[in-house]
Amino acid sequence: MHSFETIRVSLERRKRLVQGSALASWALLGSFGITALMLLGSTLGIWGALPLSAWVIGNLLVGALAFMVGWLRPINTIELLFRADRQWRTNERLVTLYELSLGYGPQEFLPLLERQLNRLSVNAAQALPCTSRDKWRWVVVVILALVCVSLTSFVQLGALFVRTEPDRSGATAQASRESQRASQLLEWLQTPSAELAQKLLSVRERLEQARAALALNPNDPRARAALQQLHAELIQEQQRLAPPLPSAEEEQPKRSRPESSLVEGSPGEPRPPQRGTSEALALNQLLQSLRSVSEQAQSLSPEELQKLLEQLRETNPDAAALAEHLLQMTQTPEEFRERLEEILRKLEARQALREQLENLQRELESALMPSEPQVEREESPTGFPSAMTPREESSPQAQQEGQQGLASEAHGIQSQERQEEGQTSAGAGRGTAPLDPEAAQDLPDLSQLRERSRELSVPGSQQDDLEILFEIVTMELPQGSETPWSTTPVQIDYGKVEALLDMLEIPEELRDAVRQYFLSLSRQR
Amino acid sequence: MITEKRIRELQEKFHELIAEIRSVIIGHEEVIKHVLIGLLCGQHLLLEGVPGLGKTLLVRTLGRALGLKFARIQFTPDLMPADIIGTRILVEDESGRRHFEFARGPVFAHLVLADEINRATPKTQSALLEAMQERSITVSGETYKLEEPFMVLATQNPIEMEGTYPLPEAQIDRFFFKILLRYPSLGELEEILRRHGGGQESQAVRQVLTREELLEVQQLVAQWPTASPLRRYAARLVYATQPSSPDAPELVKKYVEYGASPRAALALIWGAKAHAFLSGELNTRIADIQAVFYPSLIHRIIRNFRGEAEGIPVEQILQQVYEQIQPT
Repeated sequence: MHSFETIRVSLERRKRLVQGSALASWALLGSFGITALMLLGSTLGIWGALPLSAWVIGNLLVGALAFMVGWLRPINTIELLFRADRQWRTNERLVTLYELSLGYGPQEFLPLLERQLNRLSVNAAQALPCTSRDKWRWVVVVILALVCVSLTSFVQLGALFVRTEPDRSGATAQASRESQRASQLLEWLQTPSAELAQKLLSVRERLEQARAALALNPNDPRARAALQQLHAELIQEQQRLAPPLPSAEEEQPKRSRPESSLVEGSPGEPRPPQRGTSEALALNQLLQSLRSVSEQAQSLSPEELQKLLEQLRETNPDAAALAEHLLQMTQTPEEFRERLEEILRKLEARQALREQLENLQRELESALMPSEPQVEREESPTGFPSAMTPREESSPQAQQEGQQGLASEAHGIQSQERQEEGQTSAGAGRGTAPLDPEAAQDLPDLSQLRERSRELSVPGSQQDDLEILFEIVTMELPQGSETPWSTTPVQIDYGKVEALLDMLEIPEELRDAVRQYFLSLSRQR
Repeated sequence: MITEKRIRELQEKFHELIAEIRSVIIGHEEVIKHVLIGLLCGQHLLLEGVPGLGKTLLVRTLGRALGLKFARIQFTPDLMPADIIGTRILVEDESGRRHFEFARGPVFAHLVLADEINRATPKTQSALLEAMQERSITVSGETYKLEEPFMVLATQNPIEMEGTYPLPEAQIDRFFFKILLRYPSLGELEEILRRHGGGQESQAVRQVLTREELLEVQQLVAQWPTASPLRRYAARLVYATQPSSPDAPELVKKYVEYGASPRAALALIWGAKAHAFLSGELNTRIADIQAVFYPSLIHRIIRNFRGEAEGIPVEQILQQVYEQIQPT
């Protein structure tokens, strides 16, 4: 039994449901169609992958919104009741009753018609059934949804497939490898140079002590053991200074590329000392390539820069990877150049340290070798002081000379300027002149220098490290003494200064001035 | 305040009336119903059929069953308007004085049977039609109101058209329905022979409804509840008979010169109300409109020359309208 109002409300609710359902089906038809096209584009690689959760939630929102709009759309009650009358075959009683209830027509008939309606049993779904069009539209929506799910699964499976076959990954995989390689190199460059420089200074001190001991007693086993130990430490430091090897994943695609990697050999293996030359060459190539990029970057457009990197990728992949990484990490060309300059400075510091380390190695090897003629030591291709000859070791003059040579490595170039008359260029001399014994006695020994540097330094302060350095090179020379020492300490000191410059809070303009000074010393060498 | 009980009583009386008429008239159920619908609406009807189908008998039986005054006018070419509406005649009273007195014609009846109306001259026809429209007549400046209920049932003979004066379209439009009387079926004919084969006039007809009750029903039917979608449906049906209407079917556009007038739409709704009453419903239905569709419109469609030349029946045109226009 239904009163007219109950029937009307149920019919209106049903009508809203049908309206909402129809509108939602249309909206979902459109949204799923677009989603399917987008997923098809993802499958074909036209654009990126569309996450499952994103399109599912999006389509659900579209459907819900459309349903709400359909539900809230105004209803023509007269039309609705007339349609229900036709469906239920109620002889237009509902619509007549509704109009009578609104006040139209003879009101005497209102109760009469209501009584007739009370005997009516109705079903709103029967009056307003879902049309076959609506049903088919929902079927199409479901099919489209399944297609979307299938396409998403296909894209995900394709991604898995690509991951398992890196050779087919193409540009994306290569870009990923380059990015990893660049990160690896940047991490390597983060290793503090000052620590390495300090270590080398310590090695040099011990080397000089051992050489002094050997000068007194060439067969001193403790001194020789110390030299062996220093040799091992230097090899270890050499490995730390060397650029990291590409990982196994990166290494494989590079096999076909000539001169592509900085070093040869498998990762994790200790670097044989004989490969140092190739490593230095690779480091130098990296430095040169990046410097070239830095110089050209100012005048190139972004497209031209990309072409340059493409060309660089063929000749020096590490340089290309680093530049590409920086390009992606920076917003403006100026920022890119600044970051590149920073990298260049660090690489130069590494190069300088590496040269110092090689010099030390040579000196150590000379010290370990049997005595050689003095001429060989003087004509060392690098121009750096080598180990003392047996003749020097045996004579007091040679002993003094060796002691002074050790001190000169810490003192720097100014002592050499005094030694070579008329030569103002720092670090140009060799320091081979015989040393005045009295003047040599006036020179402070290494322990005294160390003590002096400790007095000048404040522990833990990098600024003080820099001050110590300058103190050493400018203050600790005896006045009026001849300077037979080599210019090698300048190289060591420069590397330390460069490393310290990177870390100290020195204004940019002062940094450049300091750097230019040491660069000029390096070039004169 | 009308009650359902009273409505049911009146409906029951009309069912008795129908039964009483059917006791005399064999067959013609639809005709009887349409005649009663015209009666309930107080409108005039045009009956068309060959002679001998019982048109006069139907009207006379109806008059008797309702206890109404019945008049029959046989239209002939020499029939004058005064023969219908009456005339002033010179009479002499007891004192010997002479004066004119209006002698009422046969139109002063409740039910007037205008037999073969197309045989009279247009002047005579228009006199009757004016009375039908105005429900009053004016003679020598004096107006005489016709007594309610007043209903004219005119008949036409579709054959023997020679010497006839077909009713002008405007006159025909004033008839509420045009009812076509078909030839009876074989069974109905046999029944006619059985009942009337003895040569008697007709069996006695019982009066089942008074004049007052008829007027009450007429008032009731006039306010019978009809929903707006039904009115829209009726309007669309009528509008579709216009050749210029976008909903007009092909036959209408091709063969119709003028479609049905708004009076046709009124006839549809009024007739539907009366039909609903006779059907025992308390409201008008789509079915009621459809039931009176043909008699309401069939005489209001004017075919064009092509339609007449090709002999396209109006019923066929209306059939297409009926099928094409659906209630919405």
